[in-house]
Amino acid sequence: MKKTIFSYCFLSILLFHHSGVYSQCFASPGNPVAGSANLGVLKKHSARAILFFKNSQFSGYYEGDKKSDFKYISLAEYNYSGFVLGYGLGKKITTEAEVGYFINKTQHYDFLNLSLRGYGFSNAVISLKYNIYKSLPKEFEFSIAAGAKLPLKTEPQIVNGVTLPVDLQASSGNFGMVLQSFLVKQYPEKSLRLFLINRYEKHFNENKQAYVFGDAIASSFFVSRHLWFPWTSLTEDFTAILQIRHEFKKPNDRFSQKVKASGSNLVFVSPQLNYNFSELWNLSAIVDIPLYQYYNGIQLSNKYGFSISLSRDFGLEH
Amino acid sequence: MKKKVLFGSLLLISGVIIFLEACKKDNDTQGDTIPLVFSDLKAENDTIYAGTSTSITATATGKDLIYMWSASAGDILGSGNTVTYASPPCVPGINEVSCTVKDNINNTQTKTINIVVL
Repeated sequence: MKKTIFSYCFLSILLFHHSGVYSQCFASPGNPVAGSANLGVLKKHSARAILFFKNSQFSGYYEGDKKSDFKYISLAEYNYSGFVLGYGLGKKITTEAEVGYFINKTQHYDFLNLSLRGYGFSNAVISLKYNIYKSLPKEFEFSIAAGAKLPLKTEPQIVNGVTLPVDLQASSGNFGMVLQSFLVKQYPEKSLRLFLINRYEKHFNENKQAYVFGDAIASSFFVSRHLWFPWTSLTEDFTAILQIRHEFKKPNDRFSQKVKASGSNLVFVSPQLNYNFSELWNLSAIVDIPLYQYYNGIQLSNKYGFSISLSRDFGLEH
Repeated sequence: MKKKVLFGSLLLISGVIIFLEACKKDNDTQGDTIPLVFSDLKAENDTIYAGTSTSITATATGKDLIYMWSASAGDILGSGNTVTYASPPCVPGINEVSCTVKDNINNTQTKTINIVVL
């Protein structure tokens, strides 16, 4: 049982690779949550669907790595819902598609008790993942992925006759590409897995608000342990995961000029609990806590993020 | 004879109704032709510090006016002919704020002002 669950358990590792943490003035270049838990490729003709929700909050300004007295936005937050579908095209190749919708992206201002709210479809990411190396005896796997990022809306959103600022636009309006690598090492006898995920994201075109989001690089290291213990069966369907993530983002461009107060260097810790049932369904909850934050210029900082996801595997018998 | 009187009466009533409707439409048409004049776009302060705001007012005449606002950078809060322009820390420099006014027959006029953010 232990082995079965460990093998099939889809560790719903949500990659907060470019969440609002890339906020310069709260602007985020893409979908808050992406990537599937299967860090390798899916089995041929099997599929995986993931539905997730994320809430993120931002407050307090930073200048460099120090808190700033600057006051402008008292609280910014978003609620985002996303859907990811993965399909095993072949023994070594998987395709994935992701779409997302911002239920709200809201800024509450320090003055006049005013707020602005954007909403709508974000970006789509379509990618192919290829397994370069897999060794069953060594329990080791290495895969790479490349994908295209497509804005689901290119015209800026207008609410009550006012064009929303780029920070509140649901879609980045930029076309881009995403490159990823996945390293997985398992220790089945210890119910332990280690992952290293690297992600590089590049945006190409200027959007309709003359904005190009800067390149982003994120590296995440995960330790996951299946909570199987010989003395109890209560926890055998649970997996605990701890993620340490570093995110680096280059400054954005506006009208072909660097935006000084943009770009950041951030470190997060993200504990996660995963519940597997029927060997097909997974329910995950994750909290995103900033450990270290460095921002170019003065920028709104991360407070915390919370996500919940539900996934199901199909066709695992193949 | 009675039929002729009845027919004549109906004709007269119809004529009156058509005349009244025509007059009504004339009045509406007169309303449609109120010319759109966008006379002024003015900021309370044309230079502000990052993290502060200023109000901007558009002055225009016309029928059923709709005001549409945009900024090259920064945030526009509120709606209608007076809004608040606010500047986050990431957009120093000269920022353009545009207002387009549209009337009931889709005539539009646009004005732009510069707000300097220090």
